[in-house]
Amino acid sequence: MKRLLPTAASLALVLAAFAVTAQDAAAPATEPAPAATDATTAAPVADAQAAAAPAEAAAVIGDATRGKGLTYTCRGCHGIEGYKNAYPSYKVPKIGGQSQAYLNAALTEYRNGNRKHPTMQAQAQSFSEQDIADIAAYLSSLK
Amino acid sequence: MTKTSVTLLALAAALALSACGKQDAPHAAAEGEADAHAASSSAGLPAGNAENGRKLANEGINGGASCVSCHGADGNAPIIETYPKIGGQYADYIAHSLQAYRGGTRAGGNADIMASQAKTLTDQQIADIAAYFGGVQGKLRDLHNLD
Repeated sequence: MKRLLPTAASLALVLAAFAVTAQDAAAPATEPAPAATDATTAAPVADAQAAAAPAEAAAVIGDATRGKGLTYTCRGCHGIEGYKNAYPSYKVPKIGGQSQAYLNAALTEYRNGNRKHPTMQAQAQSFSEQDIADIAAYLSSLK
Repeated sequence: MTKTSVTLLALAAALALSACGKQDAPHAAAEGEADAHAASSSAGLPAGNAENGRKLANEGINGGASCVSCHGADGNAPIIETYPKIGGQYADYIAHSLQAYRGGTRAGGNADIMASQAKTLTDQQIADIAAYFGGVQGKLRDLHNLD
């Protein structure tokens, strides 16, 4: 119990730092490619693309070999059996062998901000549509 | 964002977390993994009954569709590629997902379909369904022991 408090405090610091980094990283990207939230006001075309994102992302052909390289980061949380999120405390889901189109949609929704999870949103925002397709192709191929 | 505000934010977050810790710590650190899993999920749900969950998942719930009608037998064979496999998924993750669908906090993708399914579920039904799917042999895996 007493040990948990310092752990919680350090986790909060890490999370706060993460959030700041994610914001910084996202800022330059808004110019060439408006983020999904900006798209609603910026351009109707981009808005339509964001709405159709899951179907559209599925059209990109995933490269499992390239995807493998992109998933090393995923292992930090998804690679430990029974690893639990700090808060809320449920286990990080098993994603190996999951349906390809589902993984594609999940990452796309995190990137668009429709699906909420601080770490996953930050990760997904760093991925391109091709990255997401590659990751989904690799993870779904695992047995 | 300035360094000062970042520090303040971090401190506030740390304080908030330590405050939460006082409530969460007892059951988080309580029993071993298996016991904690069965007795009370960290999502604050009652203990799940896997046998009852099997019936709910196969026969339909509160007059609605059954889980397996879309996710396939034991949740391992979704009828559409965008539907996830749920057989063998961690029970508390399934419970968390169902709670999020029921509470309207999970959006995007097929969330609308699941929200309409989950809105009638009681806490006990969520716990039971999660216990059932969490306990079946599935096709999902963690990313451990990969080359």
